[in-house]
Amino acid sequence: MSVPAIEGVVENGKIRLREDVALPEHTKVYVIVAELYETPFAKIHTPRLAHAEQARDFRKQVVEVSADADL
Amino acid sequence: MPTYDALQYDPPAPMASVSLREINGREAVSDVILLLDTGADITLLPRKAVERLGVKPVSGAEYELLGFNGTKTMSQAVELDMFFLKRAFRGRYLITDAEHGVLGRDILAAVVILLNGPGKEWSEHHYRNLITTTELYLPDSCPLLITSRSNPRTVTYGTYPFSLDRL
Repeated sequence: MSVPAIEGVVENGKIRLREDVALPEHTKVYVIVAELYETPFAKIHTPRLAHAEQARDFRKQVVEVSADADL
Repeated sequence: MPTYDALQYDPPAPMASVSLREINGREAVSDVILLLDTGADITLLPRKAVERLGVKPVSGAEYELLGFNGTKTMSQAVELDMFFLKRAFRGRYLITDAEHGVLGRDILAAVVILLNGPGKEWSEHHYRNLITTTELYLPDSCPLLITSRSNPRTVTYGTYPFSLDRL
């Protein structure tokens, strides 16, 4: 059995398929939400770099500032 | 005195309040709260604070991070000055969508901090200006006069090897 994958988008809570796709009434479909499987942006605890060699990108230039420095 | 957060963390966690400034800029954002996290490789700044400052993420610079539970996430980077313990740390930082940021070892490795858990406060420890034992090669029980470059009138008597907590 072949299972075709058809792209669509959610609009106003309903799934709209591509305009050139017309499925028979009561066709059983499975919905895969693509964007939920993308790597999310950062909200993470005790983060470690996945690629340790990138730590050199985060070396800091440190400058002592006076206590009354205007920030 | 920097304090611990006992409301959102149990046991309480040490938190730092830092300021952010655009490199060579004049505007600053103060009171940015970060969790002191020695397990974190790098420092993450709250997105809201970075956006308030108006600093844009570095184009094309995204980093993959691993959480302690193996969670993977991507983070954008910004370059700015962060002010912490009377120092400006200029360089690259990552952004978190969390309310509080994380102060990681890219910063913590440059400072000496004393954590007072029972007192729920922490402070900078100022023995960094003293000669360290690694720079000395002396016989045991050798008498020493120890002083500080920042405060040369302070003299401590001791014998080698001395305990750091006596300083």
